[in-house]
Amino acid sequence: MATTPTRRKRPHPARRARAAAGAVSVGAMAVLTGGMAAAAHAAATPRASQSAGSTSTSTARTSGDRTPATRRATSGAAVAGSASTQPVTVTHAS
Amino acid sequence: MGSDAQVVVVGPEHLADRAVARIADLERRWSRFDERSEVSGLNRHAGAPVLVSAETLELVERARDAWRMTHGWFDPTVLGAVVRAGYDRSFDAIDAVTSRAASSALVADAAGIEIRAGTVRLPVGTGFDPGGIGKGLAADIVVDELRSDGAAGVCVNLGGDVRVDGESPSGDAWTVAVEHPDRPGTIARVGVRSGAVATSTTLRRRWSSGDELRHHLIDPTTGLPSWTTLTFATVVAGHAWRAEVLAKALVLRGAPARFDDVEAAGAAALTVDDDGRVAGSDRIGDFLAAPLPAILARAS
Repeated sequence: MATTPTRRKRPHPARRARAAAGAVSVGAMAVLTGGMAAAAHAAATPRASQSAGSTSTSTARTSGDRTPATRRATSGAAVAGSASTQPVTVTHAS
Repeated sequence: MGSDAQVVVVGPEHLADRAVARIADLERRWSRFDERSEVSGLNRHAGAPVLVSAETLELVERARDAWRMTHGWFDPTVLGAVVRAGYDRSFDAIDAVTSRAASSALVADAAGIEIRAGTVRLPVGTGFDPGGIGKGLAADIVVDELRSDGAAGVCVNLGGDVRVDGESPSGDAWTVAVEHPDRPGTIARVGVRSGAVATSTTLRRRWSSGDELRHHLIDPTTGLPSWTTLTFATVVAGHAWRAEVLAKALVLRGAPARFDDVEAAGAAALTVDDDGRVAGSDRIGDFLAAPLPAILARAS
């Protein structure tokens, strides 16, 4: 591991490890109390109103007998696409 | 974990309700602020094997994977240090605090966590903090389940940890805006057809303890809140749990940003340092609507 700024008081643990459908309509909105789901906003868009859309994920979903949990454990890169001017959501540090 | 949840489903409306219910279910299992949760049970019985659900088993397995993937920079056993720093209740409930009693050792490491026959045993004296990886994995689980249940496309955003798969509402790629680190607005738009985007920063979830400013990102090498000069990282990866821990590890490793772990994981990232300097990994341009600025205007 590369070195990091100062303040290190004990060996890093790794050394021990070695080792077109238009806007989405709001179908439902719920407020859950407490914690991670303190405010949950859900929107559903009927499939009938959608265009064909992406099929890029179908390969991953037909990749054999691995369970979803196993698939989540294996590395798999994100599939890039062209970003539009209208974001669906926002990533931020919470 | 005190975060908002946003769910967008392309498909039958009842699937959106199912997603919300599932998120609440995972919250009940994993919240360290709920004494009845499975994670709280693990922490109470550190040193003994505890039978847990398949979901919690997966959470612990992914946390160990994350520890290995980041070479220890992500460490789920920092709970004692997190509590010692004052983050012993949901963030909304934190006010000025003077001191807290830690419930576990300073920092252990994930190598000591044993998983066997449906049980998890934490090392004696340690605590498991699902923190960000819990949000990311929850987003992954909900998206996978809804897709299996027939949704044509799903986006789940849990506190900024975003996972998308399948058709977007527009039929184009899912577009995720990256929020500016410290002022209103966004700094980038990310296009993803399948994958995840997560962000970590030392600029949020701060609180005061006496005269000292603290935050939630614990440096596992010291057991103290990290004060590196890299203050913000966004990662694009295949899964949200992976994006979340890679982003956290980037910030903890500090400036200049080192993207080796990110690239080894097949992911891409952008970072911002104390002075607003922006850096990106080799692949990040594949996902962006426009080139990154060299310098970001920061809040005064």
